[in-house]
Amino acid sequence: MQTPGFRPEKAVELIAQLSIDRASQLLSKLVKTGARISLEKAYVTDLSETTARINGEEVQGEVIGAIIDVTGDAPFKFLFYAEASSCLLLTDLILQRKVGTAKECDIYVQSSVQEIGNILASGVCGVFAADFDIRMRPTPPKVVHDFLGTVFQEFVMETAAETDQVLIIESRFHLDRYNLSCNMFILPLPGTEEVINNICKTKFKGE
Amino acid sequence: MPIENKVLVGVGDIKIDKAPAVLSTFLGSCVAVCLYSPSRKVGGMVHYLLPKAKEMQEGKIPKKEKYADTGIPELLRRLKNVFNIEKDDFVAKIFGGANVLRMVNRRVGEENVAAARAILRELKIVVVSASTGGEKGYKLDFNLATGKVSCQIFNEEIKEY
Amino acid sequence: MAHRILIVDDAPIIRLMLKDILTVNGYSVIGEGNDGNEGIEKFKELSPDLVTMDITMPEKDGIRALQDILAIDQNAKVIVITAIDQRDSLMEAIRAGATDYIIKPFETDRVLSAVRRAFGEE
Repeated sequence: MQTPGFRPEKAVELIAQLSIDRASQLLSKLVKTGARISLEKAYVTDLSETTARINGEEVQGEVIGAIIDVTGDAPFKFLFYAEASSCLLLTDLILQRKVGTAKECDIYVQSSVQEIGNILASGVCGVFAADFDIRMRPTPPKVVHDFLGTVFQEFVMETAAETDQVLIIESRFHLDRYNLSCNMFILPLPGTEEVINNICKTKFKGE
Repeated sequence: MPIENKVLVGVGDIKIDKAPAVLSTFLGSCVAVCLYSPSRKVGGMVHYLLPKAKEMQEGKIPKKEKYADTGIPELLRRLKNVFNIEKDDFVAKIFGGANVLRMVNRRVGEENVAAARAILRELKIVVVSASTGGEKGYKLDFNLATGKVSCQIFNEEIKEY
Repeated sequence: MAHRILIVDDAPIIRLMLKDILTVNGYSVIGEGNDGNEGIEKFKELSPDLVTMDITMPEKDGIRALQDILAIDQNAKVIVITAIDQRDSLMEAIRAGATDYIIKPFETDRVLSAVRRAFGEE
């Protein structure tokens, strides 16, 4: 019997909003400048269509992405990526150096993406833990410096092997001061959405 | 290339078309098999994730396009049905199968490439060219007007196959 | 003589940031490790006065490495470093014997405060 007034999709929307808000705060703290949320959506999609769309995006030069497997009660995959030129700038901001100091995508630039991904993924885990009592833990990030289509494909591959239709939480952050954008995706693994809905149903029941 | 000719191929996807369409995709550990009929200037691409289809779970039928053993025959079947062409008219090209995440335990890319070669051999379709392996992604544009595939491995020059 | 510190973290940028903070403030960074196993090897080789240890690392995570280091030297000083919102990992590290902790993203003052406290300088 469904809890009166409870809509499963609301649980996911809530987690998406809280996760994106938290990630935005942490990114701002890490790069010491405001990171505005410029895109925020949660949707169910066919992975073939979504990957085809990503393949068609104008930015198909270099990106650097951090792919993180988050394990626990409601496992998901996490991706943070930005264009290579933006990653140079992000590195300078994290190291508090003069913008323009980083000139090539070396181990420091790649590991800056690694750390941003790690910290944002941890922040999302914190939302799960604090607000929904769902225990989660990120594993060490895998950093990929490649075409956007390739990075995204590696991100969805494990899930795509199991299912065709998936829930995706997508967001973009814009650092207005530097006119730079970076992107974050959360991809719950099969079964996770149900776990979230069940926990939220219990939580909302008493409210 | 005019944008209106471009047909995007996603993960676990098959697209077939005729000249002047250009089928485009990006690859990591996935493999793309391109089939082309030079006489009719039609062709198709299957972009698959894994070598073998998983067994049906809870009554779900796996999507054929995701696997080499179901996807490549499905690509051929659609080309034959839609364009009324015999199998003998097609040639094949294989791309991708890179170990982008540098996995040690299981190299899905290599398995995918091996599966492509085995299945095309079984189907008696000649593989006229291939670019596979490595640790970097592939960008493909399969031009159905010429049958040529522009292939760029990340950070390398574009090559024609 | 400057205190000798070993930095263990799989992210080169974090190692660089910590090294900068520590050397500018009079500490000597004598070695770096890229994962838990390397951290343990460097600890045995260099006998540092203090180790900073990331928790989430490949091969061997920071908590297992911390336990192995304490098995080698029960008086070893190890400050664990973890991303924000990883309270469970943090509690596990403290229970395992970590001297102190630093949360990422970290501020210079917090790093120095933890190091100074470890050496009884605060």
